[in-house]
Amino acid sequence: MKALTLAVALGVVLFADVRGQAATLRILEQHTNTADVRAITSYEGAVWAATGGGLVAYDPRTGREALRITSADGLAGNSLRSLAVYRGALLVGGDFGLSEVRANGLGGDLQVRVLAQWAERYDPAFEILAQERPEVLQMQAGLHALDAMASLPLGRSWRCAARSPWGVLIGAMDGTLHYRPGQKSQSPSTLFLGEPVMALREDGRGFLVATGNRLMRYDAGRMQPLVLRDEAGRTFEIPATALANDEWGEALIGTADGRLFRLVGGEPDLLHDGLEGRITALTKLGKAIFVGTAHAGVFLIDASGTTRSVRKAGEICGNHVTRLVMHRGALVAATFDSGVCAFVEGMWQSLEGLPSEFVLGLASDGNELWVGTSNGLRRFDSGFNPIALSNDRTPALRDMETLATTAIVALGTRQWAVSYLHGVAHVTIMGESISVELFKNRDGIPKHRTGLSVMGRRLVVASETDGVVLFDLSTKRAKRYLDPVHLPEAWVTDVSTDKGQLWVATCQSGVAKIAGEVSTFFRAGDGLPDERVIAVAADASGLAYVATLGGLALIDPSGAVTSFRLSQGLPDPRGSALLKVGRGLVQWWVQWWVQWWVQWWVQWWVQWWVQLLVAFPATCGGHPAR
Amino acid sequence: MRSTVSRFALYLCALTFLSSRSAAEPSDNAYSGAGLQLLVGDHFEPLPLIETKVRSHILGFVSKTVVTQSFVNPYDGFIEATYVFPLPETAAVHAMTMRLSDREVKAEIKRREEAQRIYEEAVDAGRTAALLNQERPNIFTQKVGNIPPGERIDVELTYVDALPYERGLSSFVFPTVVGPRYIPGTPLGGEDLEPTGRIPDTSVVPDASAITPPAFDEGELGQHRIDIEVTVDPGVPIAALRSPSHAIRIEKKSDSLAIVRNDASDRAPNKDFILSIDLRGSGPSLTVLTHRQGEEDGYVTLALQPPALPEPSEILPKDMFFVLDTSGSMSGVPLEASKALVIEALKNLNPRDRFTIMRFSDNVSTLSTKPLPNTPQNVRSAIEYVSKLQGEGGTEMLSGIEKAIAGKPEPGRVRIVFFLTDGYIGNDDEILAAIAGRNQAQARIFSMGVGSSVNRSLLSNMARVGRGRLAVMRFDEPVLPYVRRFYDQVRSPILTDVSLEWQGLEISDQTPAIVADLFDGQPLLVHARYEEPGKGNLVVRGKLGNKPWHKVVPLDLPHEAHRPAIANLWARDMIRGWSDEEASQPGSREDEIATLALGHNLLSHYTSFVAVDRRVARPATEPLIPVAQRLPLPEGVSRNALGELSRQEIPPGDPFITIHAPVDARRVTAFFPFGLVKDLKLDEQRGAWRGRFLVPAGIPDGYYTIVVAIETHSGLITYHEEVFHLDSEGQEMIIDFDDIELQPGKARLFRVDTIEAAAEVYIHCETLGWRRVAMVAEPASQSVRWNKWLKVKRDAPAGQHEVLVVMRDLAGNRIEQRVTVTVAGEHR
Repeated sequence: MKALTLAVALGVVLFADVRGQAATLRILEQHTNTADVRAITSYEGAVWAATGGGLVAYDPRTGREALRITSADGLAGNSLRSLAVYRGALLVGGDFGLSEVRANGLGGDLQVRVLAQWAERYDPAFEILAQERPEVLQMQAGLHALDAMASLPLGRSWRCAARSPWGVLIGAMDGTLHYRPGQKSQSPSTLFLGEPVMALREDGRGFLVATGNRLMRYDAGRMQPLVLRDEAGRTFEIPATALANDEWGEALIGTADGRLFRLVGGEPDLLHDGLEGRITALTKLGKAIFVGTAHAGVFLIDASGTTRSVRKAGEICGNHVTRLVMHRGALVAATFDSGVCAFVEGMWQSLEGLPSEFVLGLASDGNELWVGTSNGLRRFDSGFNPIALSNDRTPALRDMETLATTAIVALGTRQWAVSYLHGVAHVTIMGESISVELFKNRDGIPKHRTGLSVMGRRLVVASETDGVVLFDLSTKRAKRYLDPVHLPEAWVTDVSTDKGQLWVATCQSGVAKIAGEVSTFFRAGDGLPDERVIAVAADASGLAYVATLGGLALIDPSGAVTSFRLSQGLPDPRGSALLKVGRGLVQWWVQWWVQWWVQWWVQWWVQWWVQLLVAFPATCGGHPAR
Repeated sequence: MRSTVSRFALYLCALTFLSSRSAAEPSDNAYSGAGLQLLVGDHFEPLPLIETKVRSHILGFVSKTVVTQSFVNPYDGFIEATYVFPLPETAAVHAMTMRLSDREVKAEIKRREEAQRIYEEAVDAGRTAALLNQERPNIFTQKVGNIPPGERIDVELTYVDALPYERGLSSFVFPTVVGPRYIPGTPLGGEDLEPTGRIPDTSVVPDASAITPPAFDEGELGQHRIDIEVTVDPGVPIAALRSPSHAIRIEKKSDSLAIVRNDASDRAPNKDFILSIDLRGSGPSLTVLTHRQGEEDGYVTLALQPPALPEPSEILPKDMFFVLDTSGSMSGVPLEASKALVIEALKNLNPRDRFTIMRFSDNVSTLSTKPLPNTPQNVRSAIEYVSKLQGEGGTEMLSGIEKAIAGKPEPGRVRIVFFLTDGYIGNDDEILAAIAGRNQAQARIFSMGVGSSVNRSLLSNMARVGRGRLAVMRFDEPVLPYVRRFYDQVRSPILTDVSLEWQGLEISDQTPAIVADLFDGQPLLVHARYEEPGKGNLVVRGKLGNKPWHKVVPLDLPHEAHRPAIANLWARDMIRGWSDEEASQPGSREDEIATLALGHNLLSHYTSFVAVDRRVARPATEPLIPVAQRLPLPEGVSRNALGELSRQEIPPGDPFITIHAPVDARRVTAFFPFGLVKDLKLDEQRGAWRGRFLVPAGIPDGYYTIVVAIETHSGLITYHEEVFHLDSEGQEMIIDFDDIELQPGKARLFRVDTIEAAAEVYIHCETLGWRRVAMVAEPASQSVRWNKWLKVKRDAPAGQHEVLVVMRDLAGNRIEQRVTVTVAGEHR
């Protein structure tokens, strides 16, 4: 019985263990980013923040993170949207379900359970109204609708709601406001603001409406802007993005440019200025105000007005990881739009000096780390220090420093292949000099390249439109796999090779294994959780690990497919990157042999040496450079 | 405290611009050359039109606009400049003045032929003259003859217009470019044709050269710039001002008065200027404007707004009858576009709507005899039915019409007949008579034609008589956004069976004579003439949902009121109505139109403005060089000067959005329709703000608008929009070689029709030796028709073969279908 180690990332990266023929999934570690705060509330004496990377509880006395709860603890996913306290529990709404957290203070018992789980992803926020009964708004165009919300006008992306003694006001991202009076004798009404409704709050004088660019009051069917006035009588909009009430019921208003207001007698009064970026959520507990932001986590403003961040340092730089590599023993993660970070000395540290935070390619040859972004390529040494790409200023290197790089692979020590706008460059570093040989479409290199791999002396190039090309760097000959005999479709998202077998991930048609001229396809009918495949990683034993938009899969040498879906413990079904770290066949052989004798030792050893890292979330059409 | 945006002051930031490509190689054409220049002899000169100034004042819902075109002659000789340009279709042009260096000449309105004669005689005599003709309701030609070397001549036009008002927004549109057109027919040739047009006159379009001005190469803009200033004075508070087309600067004078200008960096005349004026919440429900002077007839314009808050009960459920012309003339793109419209409409019906589908060619057949409820199963069946329709046979439109309007009206519902046809029949009158006389179901007729050569007169008259609307979609328009816009107008009828009763008032010549239903967000605009002042009532009646509705409006038609624009608007609308009638009988209303136009000093198809300077500028011995002003190609529907997406056609994926906003902006935030909010980051290398976003897999396909808010350094907030098409599914193909017999050794044309534009289509059949054979898109088919000549190899095994046909759409979605072909005989 083989022991396999599979690392699965939730919001970011986590390590998981899949072992045995039953292939159960066990999450070993999770690394998430909590900078993107979506909701904040107070519960059981603590302040709780729903973030893109889990639920975080802060101790208001110390202003520090006291607890972090993720799917590993029983939450329905880590991408959370809303919070509400209901009947002694904290309800947590997210992209993959509704969970309930029961805590007895920060140090007491903690219970987490999933109340409802859904397979689809809902980007708009959920607003849970915990009054008589919880109402969860589903804000997709094709409303599945729950309870009384079933009769909402269709076609809106509802985002928030607020309740007054006289009715409920619901806002949508397309600027629709829908008011449902409490009395049945009154008809509901709908307004069109033309701006997204970001937040709603009732403050005793009517409803406050935050559109992200304005603040308005809705009362008795009338909409009235709330503005600032200067001494000269000029008026200025308040770009309100978040609303809350203080202990006296007065409204607190957070803005898109990091300011905090309070309504005093219905008039806005500036409380604080200079918070980092867009404010997304607010709550006041005692004399302290906890402010959630879109990109910088939670801040605490104490009674004296001093502001500080309460987010734990050393988090991974983003929740959407697109590439993973090991570099000098450290795990390095490239993210969708938050740069690159490396896990060093127990903390994630961001790499400085990237020309763009949109990272498209990442590779290590053991000595150097190469990072490809939408604005060019950068080199880093073994200590993650930036190195100049070239002193020669050759045109190709100059271009690679500024043009989008879509994929990178290390061909060996100090040899690289780089896909960028003008083609694929074979880069060789000899001492201080760098030589570049550029291959273009006329040489057989396909356009719209999505990935690179290496098979012996051949470069494997994946393309969005032209399948897979094997390019021999010695003979400069190209062999293309494109027709339906070899590939189920032309849009290839990833490739991986092992011992002469080529594994090809496709955008909408599953996975193909190509051995010489023989191709085997793996589709949903064969057990793949989804045919939209984002990443594939093969090892020397003939196993292939597949990350799809519907879950993970393992394909063994016999072709049997084992899949792991949301219902089997994945916090998010969408895999975006895979990394297998190991020593190949020798490794496996040793591991298998040892297992009979020292199983516990093997487990630990396997975790270190045979680890498969999978990151989330993912998409199919990801390469912008043309 | 930092300054932030003033209350209603919004403006878009000035942005970068598409840079022009380098000049093209000179050619032998005397009117070409470098694209930006005119070849005169052996050297190049710039073109004469240097600037157009547009100054518009919007008072209430009526705009008065003065357009000043500045022509400069950079040459050594005298030139005659010809400039083809657009104006709004509903514009009433009522004045023209020609300004020379030291004097001005007011133009006179004349019958077209007379104006032409006056102009030609003046030009021949060496006098500077200007002639303004209307070629189409929205295309005009300005000729200025005998512009002296080095001199500048300004021609000033004045027009009035009523602003459309939809969904709480009023909009001012100033078109700036005449796009390329498809001109059918056989070229007429002729020796005396002036080479001012790009396409010669043809048998079908005898004035083609007048409406196809020469164009710059793609990317070239020329030197001509348009400077627009709009004073917005609606009389009520302005909630917001924004332009989806241009970078604008807004100067707020008060809550209800603002001046909007297009930014200096955004003045290229390659896209229409659109200004959206948001009066939401403060717009009046009824506006009455009058004009009367002395003892002349008075004029009244009435604007009635539908309820701005459509309640579900106010939306009348509809019975949608989709009637598709599947005659042979519709084969190809017209039919495919019609099918796409039906499918899109089916997916967007209101919950209580019902539908059926009819097709007609030689005969008529229907999906169902009675309207079907809007259920997912019924919609699926209908989509399947529509997808399989093909074009062949004649056009028995009358049968289709009669079936669609037969039956009694059902209480509480309104029947809407969607006619999709090119209208090429011989019995227009019969059709119109049937709609007018046998429409027992009181159906509303909405007619839509596809292509640029539809029978517009029939379609517009059908809509007019049927109290509906007309839409003509060009081949080059993307289907789904057009369909969606049109269908959005139709889906929610608010007030039906509208009638007007003028009580106690001497009203005549109400236009439109038949008042159309009011749909969600759209106003009713009526013009009329009154002979005597007085007080009375206007009673507006109709049905609001199921219930009778009426509104009594006290009116006081004054003895004196100075709003001459109202008179012009009335006259223009009367002329439009007559012109529509004239479409089926050309010239039948010429005298009425000309008389009315002359009486109101209005430009029309039968009247023209001509201005002639008394002084002789050009000696008889000096030649006159005709110069046709080149126009830039239209920019298209995207707003690429302001922002762009790395993909416009998106499967669920993660494209980039780039917004060109000032680098010192405080923030640039993108609001996505599916709830995502992204703060874009400044990309210093590109000097733009960029973000990357993920489209969730569960979002339905369709067109989505991303609203981007830009907060400038000074605190002002401006808006920009980007539209993308989310497309996660391909459409089925129509394969013409399913279940056919092939002969070994023989070639055959294989054809595949895709419902939507495809990026590629290929055929694969190992046993026939066809390995991923790429098909070729038929030119002018907008990539929906694909062909390939293929030969069956002589030794192909006899019997059945499965052929795989694969299509990839613009979003990358892949659709495959398998068909069976049979190879005949035995191979040797």
